[in-house]
Amino acid sequence: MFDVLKTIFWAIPRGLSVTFKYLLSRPTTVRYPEQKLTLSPRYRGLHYLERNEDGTEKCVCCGLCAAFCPSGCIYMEPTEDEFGERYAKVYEINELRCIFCGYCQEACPKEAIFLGKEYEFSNDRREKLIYTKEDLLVPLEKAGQRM
Amino acid sequence: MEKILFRHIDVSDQYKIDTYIRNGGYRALPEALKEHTPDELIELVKKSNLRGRGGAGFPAGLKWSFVPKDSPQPRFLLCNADEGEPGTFKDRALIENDPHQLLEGIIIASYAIGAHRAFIYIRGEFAFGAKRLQEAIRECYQKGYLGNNILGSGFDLDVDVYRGGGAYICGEETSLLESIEGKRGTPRLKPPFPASVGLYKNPTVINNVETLSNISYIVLNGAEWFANIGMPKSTGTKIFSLSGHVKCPGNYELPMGVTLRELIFEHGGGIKDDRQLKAVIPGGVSTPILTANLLDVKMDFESLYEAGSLLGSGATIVMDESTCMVKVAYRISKFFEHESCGKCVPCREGTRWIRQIMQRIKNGKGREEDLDLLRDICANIAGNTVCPLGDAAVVPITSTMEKFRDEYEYHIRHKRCMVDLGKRFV
Amino acid sequence: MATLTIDGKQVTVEEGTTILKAAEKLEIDIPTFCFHDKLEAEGSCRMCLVEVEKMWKLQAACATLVSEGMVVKTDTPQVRAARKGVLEFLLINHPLDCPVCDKGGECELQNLLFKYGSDKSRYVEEKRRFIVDPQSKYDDLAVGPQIIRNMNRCILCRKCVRFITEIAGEADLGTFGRGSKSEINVLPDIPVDNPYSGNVVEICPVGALTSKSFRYKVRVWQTKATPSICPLCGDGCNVKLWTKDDKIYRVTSRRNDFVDEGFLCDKGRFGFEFVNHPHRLKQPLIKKNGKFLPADWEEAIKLVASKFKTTREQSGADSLAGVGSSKLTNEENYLFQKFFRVVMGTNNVDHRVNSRHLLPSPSLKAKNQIYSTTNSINEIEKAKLIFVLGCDLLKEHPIINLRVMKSAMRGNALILANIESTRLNRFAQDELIYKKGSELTLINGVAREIIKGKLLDADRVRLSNSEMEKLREKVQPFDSQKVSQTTEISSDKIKNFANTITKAETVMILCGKEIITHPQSTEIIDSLYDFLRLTGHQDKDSCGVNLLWEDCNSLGTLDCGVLPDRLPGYIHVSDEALRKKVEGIWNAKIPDKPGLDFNLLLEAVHQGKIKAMYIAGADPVSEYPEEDYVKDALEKLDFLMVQSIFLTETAKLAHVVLPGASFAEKDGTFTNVERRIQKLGKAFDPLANSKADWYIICMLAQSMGYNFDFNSPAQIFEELVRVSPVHTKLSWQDLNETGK
Repeated sequence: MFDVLKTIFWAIPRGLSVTFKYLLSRPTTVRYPEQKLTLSPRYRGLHYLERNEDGTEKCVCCGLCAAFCPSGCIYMEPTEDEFGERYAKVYEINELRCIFCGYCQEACPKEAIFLGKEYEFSNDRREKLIYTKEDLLVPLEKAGQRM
Repeated sequence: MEKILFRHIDVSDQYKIDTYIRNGGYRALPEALKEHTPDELIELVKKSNLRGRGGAGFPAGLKWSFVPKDSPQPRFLLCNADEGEPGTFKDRALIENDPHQLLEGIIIASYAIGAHRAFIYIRGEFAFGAKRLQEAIRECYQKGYLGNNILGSGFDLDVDVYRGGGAYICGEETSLLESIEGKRGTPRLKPPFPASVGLYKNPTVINNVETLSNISYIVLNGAEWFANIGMPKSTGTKIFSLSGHVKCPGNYELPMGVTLRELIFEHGGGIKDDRQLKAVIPGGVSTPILTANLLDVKMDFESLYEAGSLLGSGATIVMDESTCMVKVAYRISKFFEHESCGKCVPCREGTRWIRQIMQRIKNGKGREEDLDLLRDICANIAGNTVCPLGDAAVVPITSTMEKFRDEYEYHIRHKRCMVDLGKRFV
Repeated sequence: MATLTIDGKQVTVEEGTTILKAAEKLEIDIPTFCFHDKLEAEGSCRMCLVEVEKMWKLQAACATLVSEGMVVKTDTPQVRAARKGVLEFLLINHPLDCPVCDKGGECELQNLLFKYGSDKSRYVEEKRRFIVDPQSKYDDLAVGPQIIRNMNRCILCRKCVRFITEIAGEADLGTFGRGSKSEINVLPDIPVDNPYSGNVVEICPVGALTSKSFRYKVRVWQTKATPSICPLCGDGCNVKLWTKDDKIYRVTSRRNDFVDEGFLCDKGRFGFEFVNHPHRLKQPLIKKNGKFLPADWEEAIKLVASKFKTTREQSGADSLAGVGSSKLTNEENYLFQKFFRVVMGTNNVDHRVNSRHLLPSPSLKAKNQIYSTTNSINEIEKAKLIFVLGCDLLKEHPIINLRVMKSAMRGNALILANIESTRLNRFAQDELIYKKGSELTLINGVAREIIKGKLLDADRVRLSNSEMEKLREKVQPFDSQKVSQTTEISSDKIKNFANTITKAETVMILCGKEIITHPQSTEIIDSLYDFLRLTGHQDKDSCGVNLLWEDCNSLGTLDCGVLPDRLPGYIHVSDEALRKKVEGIWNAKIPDKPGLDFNLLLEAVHQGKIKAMYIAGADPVSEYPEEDYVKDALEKLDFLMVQSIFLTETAKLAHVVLPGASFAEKDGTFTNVERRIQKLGKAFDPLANSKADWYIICMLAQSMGYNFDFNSPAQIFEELVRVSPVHTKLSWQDLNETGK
């Protein structure tokens, strides 16, 4: 008998008090497409390949990012230009397989690859999520300034 | 004191064989060939305790006795006339003014070790010396002192002059061998020593010009006479090439054990412009520097070793109070960088690094940690190189750093010289 | 023998061993840069410094010889400091371009730095650069057609220069300059183009010398190294194939002291490109209306099987013929001849397509005298006189050439007899240039000279009186005037040669392609043997006549019985007892009449006796001396099936082409010139829709109603061992590493 009374007069109001408290507080939900959260400075989003200040690619295609990548989503083929300079002929990241751990950025000896803040890159075609070098390179006008 | 090697140095045509014979030359040769067996000669030189004058001071007789007696291979005698040590100019004087004295020594030494072929490896820059030597050798062949059956003794010897290409490293005996063989002048690994595996893999004895020049007098006057000159362990006389801030620079032949004070102030006439003595390098730039308070040190192998330096080739470089020790060390490090042969890593890379750091310190761009770094580099070079050049290259740095550290620190902190107060570098 | 202590462990080694070798025996690791087993120790890198008791300074382990009671320590603070110091010195001027450098990942400097070095640099000065082109950031210089030098990375161990001078016997690479300005370079307009130049890339401990073919293609850690055998000549050098996916990126040496001593020729090192070639066949092709159309395997095999079957039924088994290839493996060749003898029921099988003149098939007893080298490759170094007859060693057998050079550089005599001067003549004591085809005259002339000139030492002659008499008669007509007229060699030279060869302690004769394909090859070889017996060089170590077969598996193909009259191991088909034994193992009947050799086959085709042919791996149209004759013959056939990796001239004439696999895509064994059987390694699966050749033969047999129950070449090899007397006592496992 005492137990029933305790449930009615003590436990139920106590439980509901949590509900009412949140009913009155401001909601945490963000109205996403219109509103956006501020990202932490350490947020790891879509990769990008940095350029030197003269606009040339920083990446020399050393293969360390691919060697480190735990999900094996980086593929590259090196080649050389007419000055004997080594660069990536093919550089692809399969964003579907990427786990955004940031090891590629850590491994890069040339500071060429970074994980940016971009996270809106869903697509209707799976093939389009294999990003090529052209997709990943920062635009020429932004060369030399980290995003 | 009576001079030995320089006895006739001032006779104007002593280089001619007739003058040399008139002045008592080529008397030891017949005696050695006819009255002594080779073993007796080696014993004689051993007893005289003649030590190598090239720098290391290795007993010449002992070196000769290392040549295997019963080997069927031909043997060679090499005379090292690649006098490259900065501050040394004694061999040049001996070669240019009294070449026959050297040749007589070479013939006797070849007879003692059983060599029928001898080479004089002369520094490329000594063009005049080489000419004199060639002329002297020609005269010797004419008079029958060289060639087949010398003086009817049945002993054959041919001597050739080989001119070097001007590398300091070729004064090192194994590099000298490589150079004569026509290869790059780089040192070989020791052991095997040249006495067993030398020129073209045959037993070879390599002696300095001054050492060989002494031989005829030892044969003539006996081992005891020679051993009584100088100090008990460093016998005979030594030619000191005095240079730097002295009033009368030049070659002085003095008995071993003469004090530094006597050499500089009595023979050298004192310090130039009567300034204060600051430091002396007693035996060429690869020997440790001595400070002015050690003026009474005796100039012989043992005494200088006890004083923390080496007799080396006897090139005494005198520096007065106006000398900046950092500049001295820099200049020497530049020399060793230039002369490193490039074979082994510590010497090739280390000498360059030392020079770069010294250059920075000299130019007032040194850092506090550079001194520790220099010490570390020196420790990594010393003892780890193929030949002694690496060891030699660090000696001037470590010894000046030890004895004149205040100057280094002043250079780093004030970015200018402690000595030249008027002159700023930055 | 001397006993010494290294790091507290005792070891007993021979006198004259270095500390480094003794430590190797104890498995104590002493790091080195400038040390190479086959080069003279230089002791210049100072990385191998160790502490030796009673020596006042550290000693270079690579050059210091051991002595009794020596106490060595390799891991003291002083040693560690010295190593660290050396590494620091090396690194101060070494560019940090590891991401770009091809050596990254297998660089000795990297490895040793990780192990012994410091992770901080104390060097604040500008790094030294050897500027080649002031416009460029990079200091790469092409010093040869295959080699790129980057002097900034060089640590001047001089292994390259020492290799070139000591092993390759050339002088096209050298050290220039002095001290910190020393550099490895070439003289202007004299590139490093000797046939062994690729080795310098392999022995370079850093990325100072890199090869153009591997440059910036792939990172080493992405590749897989498969041990294999070079297929480009008969020497059988051991190689590693570096592959990624379905592509070979480079070939490096896998040291085998019995064969190659760790060196490869440039042909073997850079000649792998055919494996990656885009023209490789990837599909079975069936010719319809004169045009090749891709087909699937089932269709192609079915077609071939039915064609062979109907031909056999209509015209008999002997209207079928097979041509194997000395470029296929032992297992494939064995299976090929078994296929013909068992499934087809004919002995019409041969592989000798490159000459009109064939050596007679040897009997079992004499097999060593005719078909193989009598000496091993290692014996070349010991022979006091090497006589090379009719062989451009450099082109035909580059690695044996290296051995001959080594022998000559050590002071052994070398005499060459060729139709034209070869590059080896720099090392030769004498060179005889004879007129093509006059070999026999030359040898008999020399033999006559020896007999007539009374040069002989009676104790040494190994001929019986009657044999001697016969020889005397045989050489009688070859008087010196006639010989020098026919051979165009002066009689003095011949006299000299006769003198030298009689006086030599041991004589080894190497014969090349010129002799093997010679119309009188048998007579020449017989004469050479007589010659050796005459001068007493019979049955001694490093004495003998050695035939150097051209292709990677020439000898193996012979051994495996791809011959019309011989079963595997040279069992004659008419030898009832032995044949019965083979029939027992094969569980089938073997025809006892010898088949036709390739020359007769062609004739038979022209006469219309042969209706269908199966060519595996060979390309007779381009290899046979008379191209049109073969072409005509093959065009006359009712049915021609070719198994090949390319659409060769022969394949173009075929009705069905089946794509085989290259040496990198299958397992198997090759037999080299000294009859060493060595294993290939499968680096990746056969390309696209192609299949290993042995598998194709199995499929064909299957569809013709016979079950060849093999799952791997290992099983085929085990059967070969049971069948062939030449291969007895071998097993697949024994062939690992150095082969047998």
